[in-house]
Amino acid sequence: MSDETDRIEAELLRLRPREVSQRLRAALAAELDRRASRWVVWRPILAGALAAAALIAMAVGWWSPKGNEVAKRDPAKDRQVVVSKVRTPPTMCSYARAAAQSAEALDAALARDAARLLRPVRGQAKAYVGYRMPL
Amino acid sequence: MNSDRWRDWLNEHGPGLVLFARRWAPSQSDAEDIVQEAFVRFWRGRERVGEPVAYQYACVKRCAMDWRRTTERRARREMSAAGDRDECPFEPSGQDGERREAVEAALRRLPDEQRDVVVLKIWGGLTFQQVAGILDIPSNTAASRYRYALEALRAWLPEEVQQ
Repeated sequence: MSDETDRIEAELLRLRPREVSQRLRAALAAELDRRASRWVVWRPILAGALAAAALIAMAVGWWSPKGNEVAKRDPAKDRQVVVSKVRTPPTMCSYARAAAQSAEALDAALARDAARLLRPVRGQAKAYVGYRMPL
Repeated sequence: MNSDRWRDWLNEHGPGLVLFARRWAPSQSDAEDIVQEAFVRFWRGRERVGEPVAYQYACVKRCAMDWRRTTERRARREMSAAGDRDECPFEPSGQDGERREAVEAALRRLPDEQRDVVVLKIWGGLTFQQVAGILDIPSNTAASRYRYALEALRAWLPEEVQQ
């Protein structure tokens, strides 16, 4: 920088920006105090909430099935249960399979399907009566 | 303790911050409103930043932009009126009146972009790199704006002021 530039800089530096007013100081003091006191109030609440969340997480972890219990289950048994709960519509094939087993098995299959199909459906009972009855 | 810290900080940097905010505010009190909002923001996040002094000027700029957006029409009207009101942003003491007025008038004639760099460099005490970061311009541009501003001031100021 040249000497003239330095002189201009020195001239500018001699100017001092106005001091901040008392109004700004008071407003800042009030605002910063308000925020500080709000944090003091919220800190124990936040700490309590975090502690409660941690306790709940621990309790859930404690009561959930352990890994070795899951391992002890028999997958074949689980599959059986699921298969028995699945409702399939009656087919000729299923009746033929039942008849091949025994006459009683065929009767049981027919009775089971009749009970299921003739059961009135809520809200749609009237619509199905005319259709189902000829069976 | 904490109270003393922010007061000390405000005493040291407050005048420069208000001067910088004057770029967007039509009056000293509006500039102080901007600085109040910016200072609260700055004080909350000052420990997370590497260069707190530059950060507080960046806060002032952000708050000033927000302030301008919310009070756009009023601010524009008052800005045009403020030119006549001639509310001095500098302390009256320190220099004799004639010299001070000449320097102030020359400063007012500078384009906003150049005045920003001068304010941040001279009264903010920032480096060109920090100035560039605040104004979102390259460092070389900040340095050249500063040079142009000083050349313009030299041309405008009467000889006796420069002596």
